[in-house]
Amino acid sequence: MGKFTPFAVWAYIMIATLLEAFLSSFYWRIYPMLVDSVIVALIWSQVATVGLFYMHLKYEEKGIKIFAIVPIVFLVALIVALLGSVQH
Amino acid sequence: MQHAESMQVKQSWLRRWLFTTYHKDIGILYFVTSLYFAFVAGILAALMRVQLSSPANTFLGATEFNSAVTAHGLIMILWFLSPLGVAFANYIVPMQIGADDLAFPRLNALSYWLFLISGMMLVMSFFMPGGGFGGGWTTYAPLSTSQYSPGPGPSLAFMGFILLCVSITVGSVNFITTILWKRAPGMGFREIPMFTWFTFFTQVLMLMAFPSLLAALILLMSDRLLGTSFFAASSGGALLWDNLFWFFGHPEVYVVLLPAFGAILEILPTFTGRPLAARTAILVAAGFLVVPLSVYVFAHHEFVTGIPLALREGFTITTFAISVPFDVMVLSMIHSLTGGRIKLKTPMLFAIAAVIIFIIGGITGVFLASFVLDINLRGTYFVVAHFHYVMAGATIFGLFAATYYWLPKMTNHMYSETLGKLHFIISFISFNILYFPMFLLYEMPRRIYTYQASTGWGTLNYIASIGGFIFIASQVLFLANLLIAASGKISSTPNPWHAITPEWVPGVFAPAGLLKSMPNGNSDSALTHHQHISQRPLTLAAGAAVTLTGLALSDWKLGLPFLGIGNPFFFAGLALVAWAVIGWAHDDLLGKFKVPDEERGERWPSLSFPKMKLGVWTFLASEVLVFGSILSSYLYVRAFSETWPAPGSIHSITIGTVNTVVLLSSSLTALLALRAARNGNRRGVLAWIGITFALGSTFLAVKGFEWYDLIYNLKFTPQSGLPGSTYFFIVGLHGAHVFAGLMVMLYILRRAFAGKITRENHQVVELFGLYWSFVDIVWIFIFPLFYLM
Repeated sequence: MGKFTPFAVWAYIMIATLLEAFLSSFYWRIYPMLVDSVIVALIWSQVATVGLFYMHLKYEEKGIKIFAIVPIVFLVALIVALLGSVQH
Repeated sequence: MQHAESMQVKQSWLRRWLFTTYHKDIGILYFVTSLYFAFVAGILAALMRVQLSSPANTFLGATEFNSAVTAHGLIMILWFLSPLGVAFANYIVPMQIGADDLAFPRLNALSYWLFLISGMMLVMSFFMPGGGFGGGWTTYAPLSTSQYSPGPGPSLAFMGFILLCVSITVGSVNFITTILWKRAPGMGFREIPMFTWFTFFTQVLMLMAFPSLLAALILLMSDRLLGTSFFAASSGGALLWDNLFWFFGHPEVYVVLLPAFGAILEILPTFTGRPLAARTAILVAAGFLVVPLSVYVFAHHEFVTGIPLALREGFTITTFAISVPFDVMVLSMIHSLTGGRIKLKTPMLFAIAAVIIFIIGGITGVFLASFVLDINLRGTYFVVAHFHYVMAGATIFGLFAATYYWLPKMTNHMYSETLGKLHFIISFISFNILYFPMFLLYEMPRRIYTYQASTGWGTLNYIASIGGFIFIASQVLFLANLLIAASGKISSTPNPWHAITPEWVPGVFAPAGLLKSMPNGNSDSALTHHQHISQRPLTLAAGAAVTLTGLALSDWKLGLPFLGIGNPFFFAGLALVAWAVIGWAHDDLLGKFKVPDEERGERWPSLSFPKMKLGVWTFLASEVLVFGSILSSYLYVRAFSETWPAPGSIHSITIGTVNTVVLLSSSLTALLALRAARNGNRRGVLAWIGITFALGSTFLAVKGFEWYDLIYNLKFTPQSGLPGSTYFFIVGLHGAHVFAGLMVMLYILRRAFAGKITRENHQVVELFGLYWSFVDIVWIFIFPLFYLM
């Protein structure tokens, strides 16, 4: 990891957080679906950034990366069943 | 003099069994304890069978019968079948992979004590005012909420349940790390014995499945104690429980079954004198496939809840699909019986019986996979017969086989073969007399405590009860055989079966030049393992149990506010937990507990990272499932709700944003602390960890002020419907994780002050950083969900 990478990552997370707050404060009542969608995209980008750099997943061996991916594979089943049954 | 000596021996004996962390001792403790719980659950089963043996019987009332059914199911599955597999895993797996012990011996002991104490809490719940919980082992909501199951008894049972989940998570982290990291030189993936492989699959399943149950139980206790409304029927709570429970519940079938299958796959080649039919890789692949599939079938338990047709169709297909890997395994087992010279010793007889019973149970399960048939058969004794064949019968007979197989290894002596065969014959016949009639009772509803003679169910129930009594009585032969082996009356050679796996032939897998002195089962006294003694696990488990007991009893007031009976328990428990945790950290700081790690070994896929890092990542995997389950539940209840407060209407976006900036900045400072540690900069570590601590504390303080304002000024409380319930619960749980992180930081600061964080030894800072970043990731989800969307 480069000397300034952690600071760049921090800057991105901060900007994304402030952007989320700005969008919610000023545009959520007008375009709720659009704002929600953008915020969800920003959430995942922040999660990926923290995971890759602060948790070092970008630099780790394959073995460690498996531990980050496996629970998500399992979680998908629960989310599908839970949200799929909302219609009920 | 003699008295003093006997006292010393007594103290040593007590010290060994209370404070041991040695895997063989823990294995024996698991074994004995699970048999005790089997006895308790067996008595309950006998009571149920007496009640059902004749029509209109009044031996038990409805309440007693329901309590007996509930406790029987819970104890048999979670405190007998699962832990019996863990007992063998503890004893055998390290020997099979050539390790001296598990990766984290103290966590292993902690896991055991939590298991024992959690079971005791469940049993004690019977004796609480109002009795225990009687809503079935599935603890369906809203039946399990305080509206329908009031009183401290059910609360105590659920708290025990929560402790068991913690025990299992701790155990899974330990076994997964052990199998991946502590294999001896030469023990590549191809050389891993079948039992170890199937233990690995079991532990992965446990790690993935139990977090959703843990999440569900914490939500349930929040409903019971804090007045939140996650499982209120009006907000889809029943279906929420169904999903969270069965996400755990169905994989649990394989959690109990796979260790038995692993043992059978060891026993068959030994007693046929030929290798297993099918390549090892194919059998391992089949076992591997079961792990994700067992989760992806779980909603077939919800066919009658009215979930959408597409979901029912999807889960029907996956349910059919999971029979494929089991077909592969069973066909391999059957084919392995051909062409060899079969020795029908007791372990082999039980192994063959387990396969037969599994086939009967498996075939009847195929009927239930189809949701059209399931709608008719669900809730009848056909299902009771099916799952007792698959889950109970195949597992019990498989684990009986495992017991007889490994008894000479565990006791260094032989059991009585005649008694063993007698035990087998009576058990096998009586088991089928007990359960086969239940297939024919496909019109009789489950969970009814009595029935009328006009139904015509009396005869079959009578036959089943006779079978049940004989089956229970025949277990006396099993106990007698255990005593015969333990008392050393019949001598045994070191390898009486001429088996070729490493627990019998140490180092058999190691290539020339790498042969290692393997643990061979002869140095099995904990007295020779002084470094394995620690009182911390028992103290911590006891503290956790007392704390949760206090919480469970907290709504049991003495007529005076704030003087509930639970309060002294709660605070005493917290003090005990604090004492144990500080003591544990103190031991680490002074290096009082050291287990030498194998210097080299087979560690793919964990090639270069230390075992602690592997352990932390494994733990974080389970945390992903816990928070994932809870946040998914949030999305579910929010989608179910017709209205939800708009952003900014309750929670201040400005305060939330500032607090988010504070918390997320602390991930950067934690990383800078790691950089300083890697550079050997002690002052840098102190400064950056200090700043991280300050940021984390600020976050919690702001959260405290926010809560104060919400509760006292806005009157927005956990009881303010689902928006209040979800907010306080999820933010509170996250806050608890932040608090735990702060405690770890205090430990790191103490280490740094003592000069114990150096360029070479800074792992604790890295591991803390992983945890802390994970906690921040959770907040990255929570902040927008509650403040911005």
